[in-house]
Amino acid sequence: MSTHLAVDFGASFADFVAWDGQGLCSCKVPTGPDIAAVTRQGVAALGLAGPALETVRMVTTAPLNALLDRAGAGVALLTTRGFADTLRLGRQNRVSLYDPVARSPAPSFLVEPDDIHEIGGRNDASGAEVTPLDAGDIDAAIAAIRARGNPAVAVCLLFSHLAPAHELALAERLRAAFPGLAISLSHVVDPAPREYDRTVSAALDAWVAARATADLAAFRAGLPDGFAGDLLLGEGRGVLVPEGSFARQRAVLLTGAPAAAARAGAAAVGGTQDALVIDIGSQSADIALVRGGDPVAVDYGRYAGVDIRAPMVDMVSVPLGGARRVRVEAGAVTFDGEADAPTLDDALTALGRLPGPMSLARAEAQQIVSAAAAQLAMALIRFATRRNVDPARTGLYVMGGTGPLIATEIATAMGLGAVTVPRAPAVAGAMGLAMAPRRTEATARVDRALDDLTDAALADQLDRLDAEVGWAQVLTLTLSARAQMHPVQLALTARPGTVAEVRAALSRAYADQFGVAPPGPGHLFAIRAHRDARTALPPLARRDAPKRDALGLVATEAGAIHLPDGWRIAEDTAAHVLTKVTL
Amino acid sequence: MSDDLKILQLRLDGLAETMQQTLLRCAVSPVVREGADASCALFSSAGEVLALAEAIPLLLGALPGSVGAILEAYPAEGMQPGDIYLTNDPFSGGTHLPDIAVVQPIFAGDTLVALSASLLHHQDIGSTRAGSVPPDATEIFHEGLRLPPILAGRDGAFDPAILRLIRASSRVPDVVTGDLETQLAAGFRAASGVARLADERGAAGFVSACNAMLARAEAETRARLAGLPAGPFHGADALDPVPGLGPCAAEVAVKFQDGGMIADFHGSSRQVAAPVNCVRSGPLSASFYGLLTLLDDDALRNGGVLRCLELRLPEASVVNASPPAAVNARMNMVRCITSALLQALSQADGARMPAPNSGMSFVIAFSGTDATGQRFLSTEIVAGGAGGGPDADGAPAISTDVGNAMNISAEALEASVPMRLVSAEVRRGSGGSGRFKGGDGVRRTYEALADGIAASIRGERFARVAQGAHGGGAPKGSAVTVLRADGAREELTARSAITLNKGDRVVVESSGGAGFGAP
Repeated sequence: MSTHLAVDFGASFADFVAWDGQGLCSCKVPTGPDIAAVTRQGVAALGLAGPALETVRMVTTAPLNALLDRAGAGVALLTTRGFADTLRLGRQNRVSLYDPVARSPAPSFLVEPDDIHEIGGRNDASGAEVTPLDAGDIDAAIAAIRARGNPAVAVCLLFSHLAPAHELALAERLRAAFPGLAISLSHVVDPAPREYDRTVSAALDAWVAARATADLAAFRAGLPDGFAGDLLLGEGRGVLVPEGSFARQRAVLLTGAPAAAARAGAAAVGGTQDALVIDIGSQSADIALVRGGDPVAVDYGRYAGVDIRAPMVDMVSVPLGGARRVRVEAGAVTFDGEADAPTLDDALTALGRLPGPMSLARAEAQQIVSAAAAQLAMALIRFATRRNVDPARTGLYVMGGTGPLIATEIATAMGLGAVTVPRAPAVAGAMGLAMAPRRTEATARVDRALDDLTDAALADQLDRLDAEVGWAQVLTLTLSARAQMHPVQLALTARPGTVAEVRAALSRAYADQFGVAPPGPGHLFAIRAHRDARTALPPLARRDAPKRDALGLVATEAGAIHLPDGWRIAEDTAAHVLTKVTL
Repeated sequence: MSDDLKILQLRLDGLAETMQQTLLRCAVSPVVREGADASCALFSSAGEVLALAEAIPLLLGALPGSVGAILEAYPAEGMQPGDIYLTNDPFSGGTHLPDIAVVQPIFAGDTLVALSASLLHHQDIGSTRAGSVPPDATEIFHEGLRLPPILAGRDGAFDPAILRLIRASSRVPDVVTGDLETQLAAGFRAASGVARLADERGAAGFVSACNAMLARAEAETRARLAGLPAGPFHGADALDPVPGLGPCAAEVAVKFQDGGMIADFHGSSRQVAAPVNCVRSGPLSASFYGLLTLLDDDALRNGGVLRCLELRLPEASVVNASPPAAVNARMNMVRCITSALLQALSQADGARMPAPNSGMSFVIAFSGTDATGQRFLSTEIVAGGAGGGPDADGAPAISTDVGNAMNISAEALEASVPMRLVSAEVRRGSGGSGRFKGGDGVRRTYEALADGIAASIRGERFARVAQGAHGGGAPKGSAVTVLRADGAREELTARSAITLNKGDRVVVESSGGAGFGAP
């Protein structure tokens, strides 16, 4: 029981990494529709036996790719009477301010209009019932769901975050009518105010349930006989949660894969410096910021074009990767070409950085690679500057199957003289799973002005959180200067003994982030407590002068790095450091 | 191969965005928090925009004039590190009196390399009504404290005398001075970022790179505009008629020559004795927005673009009011100007332009005092529909052109005022017909849960609606209906203030967008 396995199902390959106290091995298996078979193949290639496996960790990009394609999933939505259009109305904002054509970012594709059913019954803003649920509406909705055969149902009723009874009663009726149906209740998935955001959360949860439940079961079925360890899922913050979390929060599977890669980058950064990490795969490049050793997380963000209210790494995905096809128009190279156009990988092959027959002239190939590097550099700079991070003063970490082959060109395009490639870069997602902490977490909603909170009440909340997570390592406070203002997140590693300490921490947060005193007496919304447990990986064998072959490639545990003339490479336990030689 | 100027632009944009986030996160004024009614930018020492935060396009033109007026009163050569300048004067480049612009010089060593500027809609700056947007104002003297360009502080702190003056004029002095301090802090943050950038290249190198960045934006804009037909292209629009008030019409003729755009608004109505007039910043916002819609998505957005714009404005008109005109409710006039301008631009660049959008949004406020004597207030903005085309139906219920406000959820509304949102729907069938249909407007039905709730409902497009493009149909107009608890029914006009009692319902319906092409 001392071996661990991490599996990252991508668009083209499933990456497997296994390790024990002695060493680490990896393999890539082409993905296919039969997840169980792919899993068995990877397990066999690494020679793993079920009883020896202590943990198995998994992420998949399949739901995310389907989301990017705006694919439907046959989800039904039950909502309060008068609010069937909530998804369609969105927040009435638009994607791009200066596009003459106004486009809404609202993900109305998640539920077909005919699958939305209004249910009479109303709670008020205090959570008190105004009118009871309408039994006739419920019968009609159940009949419609039966007729249309929806595989999953989302329920979002007004004020359910305060008064869940109506949602619970609906769930009971649905379970009785359809045993085994996947049901996503908004107050469970996202217990916070504002019905549009909660509707998106519930619909997304049901959408993932409809798309990924079978894949998860197939993965489990493909694990070797005798496996009795823990199955863990990588979630959107790049941490591991138990398989059982999926039943409550299916969206954990949505952003887990890019977050795992960001975690691999974060593990290579170490220390406290800020760093930009980019994982360049076959279809996309995902960018994140690492601060204080962790990928920076947000509680609300737009990912894959959808505004998602869930904790996740603050990431941007650029549709540029090795398998993307090239289009050349008026001398400008873009990566949205026709099916018969050459790919970025073809260009890398022509330059000798990937094996295979060469189909492109060298000059043309270099132009394509330079364009890819320039565009990714610009995306990194845009990402950084939007977050008030100076890209010229921030470390750059590049990984993925394609990234290390163009890392120095990206660095040069950003004006940087150094770039780091994490270990085993071609299987970054699986490596991130291997290094991700296993998180135990609990949340207490407080929702009180600091002036109305006593030291004893605060201590009581903290005691309950400590009891739930065992012992809280980090306390994340969601608070603002005034109740109606945008909240800030405050991470504390020491338990505040008094409300005055919380107030002082709030002042520090405003001073650090905005340079002002808090414009109000302070309001505490919630406290989240967590404890992380990390698994140690065997260190990377250190080579002072890694071998560079005739084509300029340096082999790693998984994947190669391109090292052009004028650059040198060194290794530490976590990464390969590439530096420009100054003459 | 690295695009040095583009990178510099992005880094400066990032600093302007940081200022903007500071305002949105720290301002107490509710209209800043909920409606993003604030704007931040960096300027060259010559007063040209170097970088703009992405904000509400309505305010695109709000800062250049104010910064110009400050530089005219206080030439750059005399500015000292730590100086603070401010103005809210609509007739010196501003917008309306609640919007105070704060401008701070940024030095690298001894060299003035840039200016930071922020504009924030303050909660109250005097006037005859709380909130400083009195609907019955006929002169600017009714609208609050007017601050011409002044040196308001030195060495990084406001002059206490200036703060006393402002405090004495406001109903909420602590909120106003607190928000002014937030503007100051935003400026300091930008200054430290700009100083870092200037350090990398030296002050002179930074200034010359900024000049090159402006020149490149100008050259790219001129290249784009040179490809458009010369025109003139005409556009016209007007506010819904109000009994007793003269016409409020905007007319524009747009010409493209020598790579520049000339927007001539002669023919627009004379200013009126109501607060619906706008000053020069209005047509500047509309025209700047119009130019930006013509540019590529990744174009450099700075003052180089504005070098290609010439405004020709009639004096003492609704589009360029002169003292002592009242201007506090200028927003609908700016929308009107924008609609007229977009009509003209769509003739010049038809392939990219959809049919006209609804050209309106509702501003709805519910206020009163609850049983415990506590005051309550909720303000929301309800959008109409987008225009159809050029290759798809228009989006329903969406902020368009110079607007950028989000809606308010039932759960947020009902938590702050004793009103119930009975339903929030797409107002089906309200978009114009066409090959590509106009986007539908919104229908929201509210019910009062207490007596004596004051409702202020301001909209447009009750009578005059957007016209379809290329044979497309016109949308349905806006409407507001009150259904009293006793069964009585009242149809309201565009600008209404009413009192609601328990059980009364209000149905607000916004106009759709126009259709594109014959059905």
